[in-house]
Amino acid sequence: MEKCKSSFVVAAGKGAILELAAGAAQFAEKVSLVALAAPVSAQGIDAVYTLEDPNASVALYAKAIVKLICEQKPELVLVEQSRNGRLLAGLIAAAFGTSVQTDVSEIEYDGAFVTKRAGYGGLAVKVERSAETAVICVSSGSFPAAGEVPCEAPVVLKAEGEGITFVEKKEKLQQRTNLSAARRVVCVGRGIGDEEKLALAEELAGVIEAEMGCTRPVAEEDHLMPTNRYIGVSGVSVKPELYVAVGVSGQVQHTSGVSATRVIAINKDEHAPIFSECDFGVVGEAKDVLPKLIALLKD
Amino acid sequence: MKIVACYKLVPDENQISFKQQGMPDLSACEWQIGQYDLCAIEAVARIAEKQDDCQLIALTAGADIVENSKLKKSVLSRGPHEMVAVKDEKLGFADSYAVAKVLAEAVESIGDVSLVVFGEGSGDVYAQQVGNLTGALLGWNTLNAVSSLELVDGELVVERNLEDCTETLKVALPAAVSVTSNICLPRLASMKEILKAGKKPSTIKALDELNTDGVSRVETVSLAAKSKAQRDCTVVAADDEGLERLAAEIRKMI
Repeated sequence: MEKCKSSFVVAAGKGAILELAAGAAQFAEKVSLVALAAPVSAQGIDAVYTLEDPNASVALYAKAIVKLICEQKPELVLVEQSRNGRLLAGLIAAAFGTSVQTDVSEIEYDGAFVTKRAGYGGLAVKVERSAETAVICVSSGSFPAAGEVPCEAPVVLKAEGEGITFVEKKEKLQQRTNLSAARRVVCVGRGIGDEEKLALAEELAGVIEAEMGCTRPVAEEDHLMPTNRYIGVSGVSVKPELYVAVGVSGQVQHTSGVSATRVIAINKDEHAPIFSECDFGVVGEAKDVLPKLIALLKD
Repeated sequence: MKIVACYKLVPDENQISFKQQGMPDLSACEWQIGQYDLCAIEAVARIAEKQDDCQLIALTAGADIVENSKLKKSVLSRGPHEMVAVKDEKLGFADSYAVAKVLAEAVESIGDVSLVVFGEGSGDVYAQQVGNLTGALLGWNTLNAVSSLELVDGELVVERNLEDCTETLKVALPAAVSVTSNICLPRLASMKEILKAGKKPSTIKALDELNTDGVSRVETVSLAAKSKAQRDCTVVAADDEGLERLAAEIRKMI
């Protein structure tokens, strides 16, 4: 396969570094890595750069990272799709006078980098072709991971972020979820209404051994569930075997995050769009349906 | 001080249909202010209300829709003192670099701006890049994922909500920040504010008034409807028989 001359990988997580290293090595003869957190290296990486203080904010190193990558003029920059990754991708792309190709799950190279992503809240598939330099934010799982190797003699980048002062960092205490890998998901929408009915949905999830998810307004407006549990285009994407939607209207911004083998819906509104996106639906109030359903399933 | 809140007008995704091949048909869609941008407008409206002598300007770029008077009133009823829109047919489907370049030039032409804010991503493409690119093109301190934003003694104190931590930073002005959708809840404008909005100044600029071409750098090769999963769509009432069938459907899968 034809390859470009040089590439950069910019990532923090070990999993992302190993995947993007493998991806970059497919497309480029030389792969350099900026490891934003712990020093990690992978097979196929030719040079590693680390940050002087990985416990400070990555934002302090943005200028140094952009300068480094601009000097080396790679044709391809693969960036981890995290919030820091998106920030750096934008700053790097601006320096090269181009856009970022984000949320990319597939890449091909034919002299330019042709990528696939979702558009319009997941309704559409958009194919994009890079300019001279491609800056691409890659969804996790897009490449098989390369083997890890010891990170020897990395070049240490110093902060050049005058104008931005780091004050503090707090680790998040919120429970980590593995929604995106869950085999069964019970998802609540705004129709769930209150904590009492939410408890019923949680009981159902317990009975069928499902992870709990929700729609964006349930997390961000009603604060009934943590924000790392909302499913949809701006939240988590799920691909379970069974997805049970309770009080979920079925707005496309939510359903585009759901790719389930079987979709079951419970909603009091018979005209809710979710009923045209489900395999089996019941028209009824969650407070009436859930206790009876739980009793039947426990039998 | 001048603060600019950027927003994008987007079609309601629930009304988009796709022609047989290629581009989406937006003709039947209602347009709205991007839902994430409403949070950005609210966040700075609250800052502007607390400052003496603070001018809050709403800024957008797009095709003819930017002149829609209902949408102009809608944005102006949410706190901004004036709005500026850059109008050009090309900007309807432009990439994030082209839009960012237009916004950066527009911010320069407004002059003396200390802070530009963006929603975390647009309501339609959601690439979450226009804020980062615009800030970089302006050469300003640029941050995304901002979940709390305060102006203290002439500098910003921001909290960034990252995947595994939150971090607090002080940021010198001028700065460009993209805020998260949970930074605050957008207000519902009162009838009085909507009426007042009609009297606030709005300026429509043509692209050739700015020092940029609005041409995308990343080419869109195709944009086509995603094939939908075929579903059975059996819908029943919540009577005893319906619930038995529901339980049976779930049992099949566990």
